[in-house]
Amino acid sequence: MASLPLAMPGLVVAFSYFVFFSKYSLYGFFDPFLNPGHVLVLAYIIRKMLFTVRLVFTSVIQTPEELEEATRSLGARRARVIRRIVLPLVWYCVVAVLLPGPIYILSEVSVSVTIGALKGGPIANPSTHAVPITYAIAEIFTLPSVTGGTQPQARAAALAALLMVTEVAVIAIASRLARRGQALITL
Amino acid sequence: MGFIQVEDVVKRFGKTVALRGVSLSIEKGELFAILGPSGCGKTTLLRIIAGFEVPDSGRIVFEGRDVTELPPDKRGTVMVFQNWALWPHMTVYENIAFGLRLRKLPREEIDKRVKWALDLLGLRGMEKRYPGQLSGGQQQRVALARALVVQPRVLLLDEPLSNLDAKLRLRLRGELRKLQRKLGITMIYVTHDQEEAMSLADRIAVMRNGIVEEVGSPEQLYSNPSKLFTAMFLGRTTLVLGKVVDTEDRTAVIQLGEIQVKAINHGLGKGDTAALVVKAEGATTRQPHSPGDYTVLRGTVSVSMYIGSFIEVRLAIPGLEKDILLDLPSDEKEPLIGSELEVYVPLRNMHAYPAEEEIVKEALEQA
Ligand SMILES: Nc1ncnc2c1ncn2[C@@H]1O[C@H](COP(=O)(O)OP(=O)(O)O)[C@@H](O)[C@H]1O
Ligand SMILES: [Mg+2]
Repeated sequence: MASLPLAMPGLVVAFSYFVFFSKYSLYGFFDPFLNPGHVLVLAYIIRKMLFTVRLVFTSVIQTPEELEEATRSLGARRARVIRRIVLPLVWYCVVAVLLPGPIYILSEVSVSVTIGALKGGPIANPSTHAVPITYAIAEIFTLPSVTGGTQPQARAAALAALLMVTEVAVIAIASRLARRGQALITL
Repeated sequence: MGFIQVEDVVKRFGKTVALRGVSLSIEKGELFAILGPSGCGKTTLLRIIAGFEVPDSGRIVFEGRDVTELPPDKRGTVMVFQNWALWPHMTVYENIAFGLRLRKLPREEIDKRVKWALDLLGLRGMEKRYPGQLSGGQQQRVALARALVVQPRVLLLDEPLSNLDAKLRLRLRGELRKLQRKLGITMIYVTHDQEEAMSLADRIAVMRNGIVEEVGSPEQLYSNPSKLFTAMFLGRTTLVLGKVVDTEDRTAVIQLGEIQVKAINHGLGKGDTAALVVKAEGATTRQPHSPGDYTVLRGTVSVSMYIGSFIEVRLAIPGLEKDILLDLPSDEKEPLIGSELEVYVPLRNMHAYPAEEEIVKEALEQA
């Protein structure tokens, strides 16, 4: 039952977010016209939260009691056991399980939001709306050639390279975290 | 008054009675083993001493102070778990340093002590590894190092070697003994392995079904066990039933099927049913120099196997339900199956006790 919301098609969710925020947050932080990035991030967090909550729950249950008892027996009070042992273990479990699939989506979303949202800057066409970076690349790529200065194709290529570098960085950081986590899972 | 007193401790889990009134007195600096079959309550007892469980009744006293209700972090005991319970998200170094950091020692002191522990247990060079990247033996050492480094006044070990292969177990056993001697730490060592208990411990408490049967040095318990269960549990033994036909000074004459044998008497009177425990070792088919120290078992050979260091023989005694296990020296002639055989068994390996129903039943079922 807890997973029921997952059955909701993304489009429906997206549409309801759009309607909801354009009504209640018009010109505000979550205005989907002014700040699509904010809404997008929020939507992703909420949709992924479900996995995280379930995961945290199971990993708390599955943390072997002896790991906590070993800590107690070395002289740690309960609060410290939770802070130093239980929480880190849960965190690494979450990272390790979440990473393999969704991290790619997550990285793409965050990256596209941050770079694509740089509207009005020198990269995207100032006249257009903020768009995800992949879309921006496509758009720039199809612009007519110019005489003199940088060709739009070159700019698109640079943008794509930037996207790739950022993604690689995110994945690298994530997998470093995951390596500790993975060690737990294979225990 | 012992360094650690366990006083009449009772512990139930729902309907299961894990401990039915256990009392022990453990001295400072000794390696005290708690030995017994699986499920007899060893872990429960250790956990009560450590403070992870509170007994339903009874007390735990450390140096005259009642600690029964004291939480585990206030007791000064450190426990090493059966599965070692290393923190998988910390490196070897961090695992070992954890207890010292808790004690807020200065950084150089922590580093010094962690290095001491790493050297002590041969773990140099593994500091940066995670537990998941270590072998079983190495993990076991880290668990020991983590406990020893804080120099606890009492170290509690719950079958710390049982997850290792036989060879490694033997080696670590020796190392553990040396360490205990060197550091003079009071250790309570739980195990179901009689050899381990005998080779390690200064004294052993033999447990069965929630009670302590007997406490003594390994030599005492092995050579002259005062309880039936101890006799049966230590060594390669056979338990058979007989009838006491006569008693002398320290010995009893027992009718065993169609033969009569002598055994050391542990409280039997004429006419009693005797539970006779025969140790397999020390038997011989050669006429001994002092026949008075031996008793003779006469029967038919039902099994005869050359094992290497000895010949394993099972002797069927006429009128007796169960065959008796005997180890002959390997330089003797291997007896033929089906042949009649006379075997001399040292009297010190024949012990007769009142036939405690529960133990006898279990022993006869097992065979
Ligand atoms: N937490 C518990 N809940 C219920 N029963 C338990 C618990 N711990 C131990 N027992 C029971 O108590 C008895 C003794 O267990 P234990 O102390 O673990 O034995 P040992 O360590 O000698 O194998 C067993 O019958 C076991 O099933
Ligand atoms: Mg146990």
